[in-house]
Amino acid sequence: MGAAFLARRVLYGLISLLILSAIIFACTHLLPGDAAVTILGEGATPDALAALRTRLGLDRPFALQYLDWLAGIPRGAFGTSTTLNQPAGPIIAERFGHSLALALITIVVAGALAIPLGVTAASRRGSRLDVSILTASYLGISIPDFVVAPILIILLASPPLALLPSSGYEPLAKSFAGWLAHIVLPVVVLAFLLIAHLLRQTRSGMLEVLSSDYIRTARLKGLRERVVLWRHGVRNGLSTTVAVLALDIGYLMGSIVIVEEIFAYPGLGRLMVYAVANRDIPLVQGTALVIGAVYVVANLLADLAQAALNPRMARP
Amino acid sequence: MNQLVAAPVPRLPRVNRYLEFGAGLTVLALAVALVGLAYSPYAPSKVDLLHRLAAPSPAHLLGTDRFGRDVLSRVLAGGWRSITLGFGATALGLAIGLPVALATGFHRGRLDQIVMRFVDALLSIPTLVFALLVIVGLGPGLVQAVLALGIAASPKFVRIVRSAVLDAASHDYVTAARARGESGLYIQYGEILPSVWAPIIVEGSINVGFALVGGAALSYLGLGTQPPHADWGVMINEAQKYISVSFWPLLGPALAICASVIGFNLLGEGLRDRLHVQRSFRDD
Repeated sequence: MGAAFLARRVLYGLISLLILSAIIFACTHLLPGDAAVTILGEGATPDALAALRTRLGLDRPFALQYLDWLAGIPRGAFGTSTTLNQPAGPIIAERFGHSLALALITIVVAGALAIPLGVTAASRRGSRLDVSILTASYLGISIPDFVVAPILIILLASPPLALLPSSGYEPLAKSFAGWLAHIVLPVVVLAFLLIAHLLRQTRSGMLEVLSSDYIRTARLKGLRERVVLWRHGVRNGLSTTVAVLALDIGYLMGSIVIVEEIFAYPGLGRLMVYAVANRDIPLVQGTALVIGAVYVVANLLADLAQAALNPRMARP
Repeated sequence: MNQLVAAPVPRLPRVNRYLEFGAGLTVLALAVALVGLAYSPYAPSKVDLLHRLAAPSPAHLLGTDRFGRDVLSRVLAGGWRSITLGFGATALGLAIGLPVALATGFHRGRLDQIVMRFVDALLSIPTLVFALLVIVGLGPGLVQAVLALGIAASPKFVRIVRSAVLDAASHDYVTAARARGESGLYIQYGEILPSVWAPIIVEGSINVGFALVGGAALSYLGLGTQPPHADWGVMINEAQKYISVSFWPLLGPALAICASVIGFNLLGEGLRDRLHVQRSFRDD
């Protein structure tokens, strides 16, 4: 893959992020409501409001406020949280680490289960196994995570079993077992949806490949079916799966909002819900932008992975 | 029927089975919402402290919640709010997305490129996160949630419908309309729109299910329907707090949401196959 291809993709990603930052800023500033009123309450005196607006820079032109905000981002400065009275950057960074751990573990678990299941389903197209896997994955896509989560809590985190804590977080530095115990249920809920999605992509990618000429040739050569499937088929059949896997990191960023809230897991999603509920504008902007950035980076990785697997795509 | 039973290899469900099953569940969900507007066995907010968190019984078919309120009554009475979130948000998303898709797909050029850059940027945040951004400005509530989910759904509609418009605009009947000297607006709405309805119906149907879940999620987070009013998301949130005591308050709203979502999804997928609409790999 050429350097020009890489540069173009990175540039597109940066432009996307720049536009996104403008949209996020506009969304949170042009809509009705005033941060000063939110902080001081409806009963505040006009003088106090004016003083706070000056301190927060709300009396300056919109474009200047935006550029100020934008200039801080490369340094990791996202303004000061209006409800916690702390710089938003470090809070977001810490929570982002927690969420990233959750997302990466989920991706690995989901990939490890979904790819073999999808390949198996495709290789026995129309069999009872295939139909069962498809039906189960359909349910997986359709059942919302806030329904799956309570069911898992009943099964695994409530008496009589009570194997796992039903919510909360323990730092990795304190105890590995405690950290793991708290992360299991969120990962299972997130993976549940992801497995269903990945499995269907793998299956349809494999079906396409398995009907191609070179697979027929491999079979006619007398290769064993297992070799045909896993060595010849998977290599091409998985190129869409890899792309989808990367895109799903972005998709996971949407799911963590709700899953972290359910399990009181202190990640980026829960932080955003807190920020929205309390109208903490700097935190809202920061969390939304980081979530968008994760998606843009994931998209970039998806393009690069696809280009690496299929060099024809990298040509203009 | 005997031939089906005797078939040697079990077959995949036929396409129209999806459609029929989906349509059936969809009608059921709509019926629940409509019935709930007019009738419920008990007043949905009637407190009965002697029968809290009760298991299903002839008196309370789906049990009672932590205040002894009848779960079936609340599922019925809250149904219209959940269904409204699904349909309202989809209608709004289409109302914003369609004109943009038609104009950009028909005129192409510079404006199209700029608009699509914006659409791509918006598609890089998850729908729920976008909806949360809008909620920041509008505040929590049912109407606000419909607006937020509708605005958040619109970039997806622009993307999907625009590609159908691009395809339609290359056909001879559009060239003919141009040659006749028809106005751009007439060609967009009179010639192109009638030929791109199939993907609109398919994506619209799937989005109703998607927005229904998104609405329930917002309500679950406390940003949609506000208690003491009920919808299925609020009910799941309330049920989850007492889940170690009783499972029953969860069952009703969970079943209602799952059945509706599966219904709208199957309906969309069935229509997709029936109407021969292509699927793009990014929106599965």
